[in-house]
Amino acid sequence: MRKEQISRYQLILLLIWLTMGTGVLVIPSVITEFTVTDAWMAVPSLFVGGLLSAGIARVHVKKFPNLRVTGALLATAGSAIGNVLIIWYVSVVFVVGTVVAREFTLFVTMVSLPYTSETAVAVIGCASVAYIAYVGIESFARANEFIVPLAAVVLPLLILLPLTLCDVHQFYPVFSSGWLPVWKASIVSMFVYGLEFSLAIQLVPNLRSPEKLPNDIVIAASISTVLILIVVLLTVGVFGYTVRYLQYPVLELIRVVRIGRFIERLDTIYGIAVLMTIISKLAVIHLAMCTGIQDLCKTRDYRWAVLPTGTAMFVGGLYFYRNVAQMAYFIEHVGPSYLLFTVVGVPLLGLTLQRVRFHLKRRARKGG
Amino acid sequence: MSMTATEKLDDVVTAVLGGKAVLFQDGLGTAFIWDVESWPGRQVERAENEPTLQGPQEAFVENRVLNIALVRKRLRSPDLRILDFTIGERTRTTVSLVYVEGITKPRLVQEVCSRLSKVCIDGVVDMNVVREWIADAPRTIFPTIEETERPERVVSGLLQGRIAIIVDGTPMCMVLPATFAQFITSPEDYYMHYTLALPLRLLRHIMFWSSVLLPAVYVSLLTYNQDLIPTPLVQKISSQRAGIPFPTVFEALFMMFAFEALREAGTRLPRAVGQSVSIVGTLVIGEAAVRAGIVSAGMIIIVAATGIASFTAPALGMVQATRLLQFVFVLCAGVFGLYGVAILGIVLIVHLASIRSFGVPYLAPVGPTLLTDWKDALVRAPWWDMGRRPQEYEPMDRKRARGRR
Amino acid sequence: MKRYWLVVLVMAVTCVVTSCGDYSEVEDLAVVVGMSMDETSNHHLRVTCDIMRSSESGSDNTSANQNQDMLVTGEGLSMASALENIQKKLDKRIYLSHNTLVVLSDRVISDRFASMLDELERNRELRLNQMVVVVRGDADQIWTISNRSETPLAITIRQAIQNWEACTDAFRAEQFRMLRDWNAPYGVAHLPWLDPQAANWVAGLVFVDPRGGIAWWSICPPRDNGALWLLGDTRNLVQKIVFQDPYRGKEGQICIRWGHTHTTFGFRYHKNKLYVTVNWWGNGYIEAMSPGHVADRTTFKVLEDQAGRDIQRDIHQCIMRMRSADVNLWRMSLYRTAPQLFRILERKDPSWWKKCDVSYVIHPHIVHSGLSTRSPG
Repeated sequence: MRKEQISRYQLILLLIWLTMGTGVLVIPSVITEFTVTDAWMAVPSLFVGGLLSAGIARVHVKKFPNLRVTGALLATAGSAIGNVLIIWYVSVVFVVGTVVAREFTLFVTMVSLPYTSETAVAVIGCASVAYIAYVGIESFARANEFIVPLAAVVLPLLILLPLTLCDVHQFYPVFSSGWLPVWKASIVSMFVYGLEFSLAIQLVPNLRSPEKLPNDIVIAASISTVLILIVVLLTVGVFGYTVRYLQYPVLELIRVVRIGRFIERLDTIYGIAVLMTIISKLAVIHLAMCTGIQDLCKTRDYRWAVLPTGTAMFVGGLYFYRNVAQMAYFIEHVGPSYLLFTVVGVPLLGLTLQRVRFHLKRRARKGG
Repeated sequence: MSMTATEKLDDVVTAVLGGKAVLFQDGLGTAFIWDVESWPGRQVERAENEPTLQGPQEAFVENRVLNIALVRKRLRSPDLRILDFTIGERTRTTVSLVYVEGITKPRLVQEVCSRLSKVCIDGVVDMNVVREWIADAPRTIFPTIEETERPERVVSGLLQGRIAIIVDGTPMCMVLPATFAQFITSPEDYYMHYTLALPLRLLRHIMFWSSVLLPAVYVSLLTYNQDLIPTPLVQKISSQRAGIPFPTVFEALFMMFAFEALREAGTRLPRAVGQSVSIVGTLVIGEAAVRAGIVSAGMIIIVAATGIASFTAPALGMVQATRLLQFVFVLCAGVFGLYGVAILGIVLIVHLASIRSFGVPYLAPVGPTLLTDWKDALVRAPWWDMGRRPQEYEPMDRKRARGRR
Repeated sequence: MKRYWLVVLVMAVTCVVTSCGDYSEVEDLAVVVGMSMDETSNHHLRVTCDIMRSSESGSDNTSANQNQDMLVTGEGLSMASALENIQKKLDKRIYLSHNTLVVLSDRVISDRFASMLDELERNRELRLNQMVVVVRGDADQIWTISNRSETPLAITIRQAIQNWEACTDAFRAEQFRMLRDWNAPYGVAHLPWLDPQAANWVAGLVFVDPRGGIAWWSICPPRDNGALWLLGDTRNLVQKIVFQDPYRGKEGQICIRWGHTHTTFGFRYHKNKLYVTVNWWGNGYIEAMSPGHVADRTTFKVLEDQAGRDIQRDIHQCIMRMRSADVNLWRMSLYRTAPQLFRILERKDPSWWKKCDVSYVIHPHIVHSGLSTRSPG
């Protein structure tokens, strides 16, 4: 079977969609829960999270230039404990996948199809994501590239049009309540969305130049940070404190645009753009999960796992988070610690185990 | 007149069956085969399926030798190579593989040769038999091999580093590999000034996507996403639709079906009658259906616009694909509205990205991005600026022109 | 392979069977373009919907109703229940996505403004760019306006308010702008005040303080521009000025069109006292002038001085009006410029804005241009 490989440009695009997918929906609401006027200051934390991911990726590609996270866990922690760690890793990726799958169904239900059963929405989501995972990362990366020229036309439009409604006064007073709210607001974007970049490590064997992965993560993180910063500035500038009462501030932002008699009602264009990015994000998570399972089961291909895991992800989404509040609670209170432990803690654990095994072996050899 | 020598009796039998003269000489173990055959056939005529206003007008005919001569007439290079294959156990059809040595990637030639040699069938009555045997992604509805009846198009393909396959008995020629952008390109783009080619190509790209999406978007706007229609238009559409007994989605499917039937009838009927059927049918049936209150006027406009848009694609294979796709999109719009259409659109793009034509990604040069090739994809740069051959075909000799001086 | 086809079949069947929940034909929708809300004597909410007629259903009523509107009224404890009652009277589904205007009565404003805004915001179909306006008395009297245009009445009214928007941001009445002011920590919402009997239906502005204060300001340029200047920047506003001709010693009249004016507030705290400075800057040209005046540098100087005095007088009167109406428009501006000072003042004396000294820096600039006409007053 031909090895699927993606270029640096394609990887950066995938990583940008990975954050923007749900980040553009969730980050503005999460940040403005803590501070409104200083919300923009909390956005660079996403970049800090990206740097953290880049650091982890740097260590990984130096030690294991051709292995994914799960492969590296097997190599460091040995077969038995390695498998346990892989199960943990895959479970966390699965849980992240369920959140994103739930966000997908929720977004479609709230924005366009309120009377359609969520199961039906999940079915079409699942079918499309499973198909993307089935055709593989290379084709999907090419499809992403194909969409970029279109996005390059639509994105400036979506940014420029609400700019006319923006009110600069909404950013004053600066530091009205000090640094603490800004720090609190930074946690989710840093430890949930910033650390999500580290999913790229699971794609290492598919990268044409894996040694550049840390740089690519930094580039993707900086672009995502700038985009999210623009979005946060616009939402706060247009809605002020009302942003706290809106489910999807960015969607409302596009809904209120009305210039002249005809330039209005652009929310569906935006909705479709968001839908594409969420599907893209789901596809990357799904691929990461499937390749993890491939390593766990030691099979040659991952495609047999696509449909069962995809279905499980969407069903899990509907089953775990019955409503928005449960999902928001998970993202804000559970997600950061889980991801931090999995992305930083588990590899550290693997490395420690490797050291311990190495010393034990050496001692046994000396003793013998 | 060409001559070949053979020592095999099988070749002699084939040659005699093929209408050739064989010369035996006493005491010599070699027979000489002379191409003296003259099969009944038509002469070179104007291109009918790919008409252009500007540029050469000659078209291929059913005679392979004549077709090769038409190519050689335009490409008098000693590097032009022609490899012959005999395919079809009973028809023994000659298939010629044409390429330019020094430009075309040798691995591509090897690959095509190996695929051609694997074709195992009793008869090749048309080029399509060979095409279906050798094409990639056999289950896709999108064409992965370009077909043309214009010799100059074949020549420009050869100069890009591609391969042409001429099948005896078919007035068409296959050019491969092919990318998506090529099917939206008309030969005329190269015969007119490049500044005019740009808007026309853009128009064709927009029209291609319109032909796939227009009815689906209309159906979803009317049945799911009414909030996207400008307020005064809601009033107009709503009064148009009042009294029509069918749901919009069935109305659309019914009209599209009727349109396709008329289009098919127009093609099958003798030419003189065919045209009147398509025009009269569309006008009369459309008008009558609106008056009878079976369909709304807006739907007639949309279906007609879709039909016109679909014919702006110069390649017939792509037109057929859009004809089929628009039904799937309308069904999706009827079930999930614009979001269903969007999701199907994503799946379609991923599907297109997953196709390769003889190793070349179908969406090249946009996915993967090959910036130098953009000069001849969505736009056409002036000839003096297209100094390099398309990189997507990985030609051996990359330079085409030295640039303007 | 067979198993995969089975899965695809199951998915397709699920989609077809469970979807289409949101399918509705466009002709089955009652497209609401405007709504008015009143509070009845038994504290119910009376909602009147201006539903756009499709041209065919309009032609059924031969001459009785030539316009595009169909008014349907319903009552309920909340907006949702009132809309439900309206729905019962209609054979089509109420569709609110095209709503452009919400008219509230003064009773709704004083009794249930916050809950009303909450309901409007929560409704998924309504967009936050609909205009929210107020009528004194019954809100549904707004639909008695005779509509001569072909567009539905709600859209005509919206266009009338948009004409005002061209002059001042104070009349930008989209719901999201109003909410932006209302939800800010010390903000005051302002809404256009409509009067069906007034010439352009626009009578002035209503200020609603989250603490309960309501003020009605009638605004009628060119006589009284002070309120608009106090509220912010203006464009293309006309002002009439009576001045003393420096050469002839007689009174003259001019009409100045202020192309663009800009107002800012400066706050200075000195010796336990707050000083507010109103900075006004404007650029305008003479649109009309009574005959016989020499338009030279001296005259322009006199004109600018007189305009400055008039502007200061108008703004001052408005500040007095603000103080007497007990609506504090300065709270948010002070909070934004100096939050610490604001907190100190609020703690010490919440009525600081009534006692502070106000000074004015007015910079009117009239363009010396040949374009100024000398048509008789």
